[in-house]
Amino acid sequence: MSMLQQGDRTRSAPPAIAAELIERCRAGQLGAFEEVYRAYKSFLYSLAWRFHGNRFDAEDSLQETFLAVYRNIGRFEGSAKFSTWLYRILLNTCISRKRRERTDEQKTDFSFELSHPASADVEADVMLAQLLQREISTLPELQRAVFLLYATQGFTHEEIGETLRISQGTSKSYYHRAKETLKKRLRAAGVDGREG
Amino acid sequence: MTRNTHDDEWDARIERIAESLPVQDPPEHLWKRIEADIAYEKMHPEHHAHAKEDSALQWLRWRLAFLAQPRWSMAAFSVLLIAGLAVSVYIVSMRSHDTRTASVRASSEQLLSEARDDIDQAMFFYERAITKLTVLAKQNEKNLDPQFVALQNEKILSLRTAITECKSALDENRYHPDVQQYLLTAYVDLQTTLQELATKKN
Repeated sequence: MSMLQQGDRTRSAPPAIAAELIERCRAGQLGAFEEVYRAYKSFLYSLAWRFHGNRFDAEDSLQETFLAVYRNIGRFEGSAKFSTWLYRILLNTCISRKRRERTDEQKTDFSFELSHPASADVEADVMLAQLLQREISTLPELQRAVFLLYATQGFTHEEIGETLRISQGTSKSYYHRAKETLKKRLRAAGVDGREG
Repeated sequence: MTRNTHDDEWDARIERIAESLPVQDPPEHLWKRIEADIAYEKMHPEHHAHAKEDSALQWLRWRLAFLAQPRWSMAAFSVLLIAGLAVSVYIVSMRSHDTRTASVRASSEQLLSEARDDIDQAMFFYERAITKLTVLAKQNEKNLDPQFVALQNEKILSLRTAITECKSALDENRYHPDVQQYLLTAYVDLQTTLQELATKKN
């Protein structure tokens, strides 16, 4: 039987982790950590990449996150959702990494295509996506974390509150402010909100 | 009213585009790096204890963020290297002295154990230097010829794989002299490669 159980969410949510797998991680089994890594790597790496705006910091953040998971798995309380705990570690790592490197020159790499083009005007959407991605990575850290969790990972404000240890109201307020900032910056870049 | 409708369109479009942002997969070699980190932590639980930072220390680290700037990192690394060399020379001289009097006061088992501790220390310092050089090398990559960077990265990847394999072998037989020699050779190669990437100018 697979150690990974499918979560409740219909959206591309990360799988829930079986208690047995967590126990194996607690026992220090490298294979168990690898199983967790394989299950979550795309979700966490995408989030880190969007947070930092470049793959180098995203790779380092993911590496630091799994080292922190190894170090702290003994302190993981079963009452919390494992994915929430994992996302919390990743975002804390991203935020503290960003603080350490705040003075460094911003380096971004955003050449990509959308995973599923959103409208017939694919080119315009891809351009907007690249611009949006760039602007997301310059938002204030907490606003950025909230925006990414809500808009790209499909978290509810309740889940965001639990993950970032903030209230639901704060999460909603950060999300609203992030969206307003993004709209303002996109408008300044000459992008109109209308389709096509 | 029109304004609100336009704003709603904006919101909807931003949310739809954000939702469509592509899911990225990390490179395959990333797990090797994580695996090496975890294996190292297993070998050095005391390092784990030191690595635990309470919030006050974390705050202090953020305050010292300027050290992350390349010139300060280089300076810190140089100081660390010099200090490391000085300590190594001191330890080696102490060990030589100890060796001369070993027949009188110490058993050969004790000397062997101390020598093994020194080897562990050497590995620890190499790991630490490599971590720092990795950061510097990445920072300098954008200034270099991409083909050169790609070649060096391939070399780095194979060295990291070799290091991981050596470490796995050492998990079975911690003090196998040949494996230790391979591992230290790989560390030296990786350190020089990273140093070249970190300091090279186009």
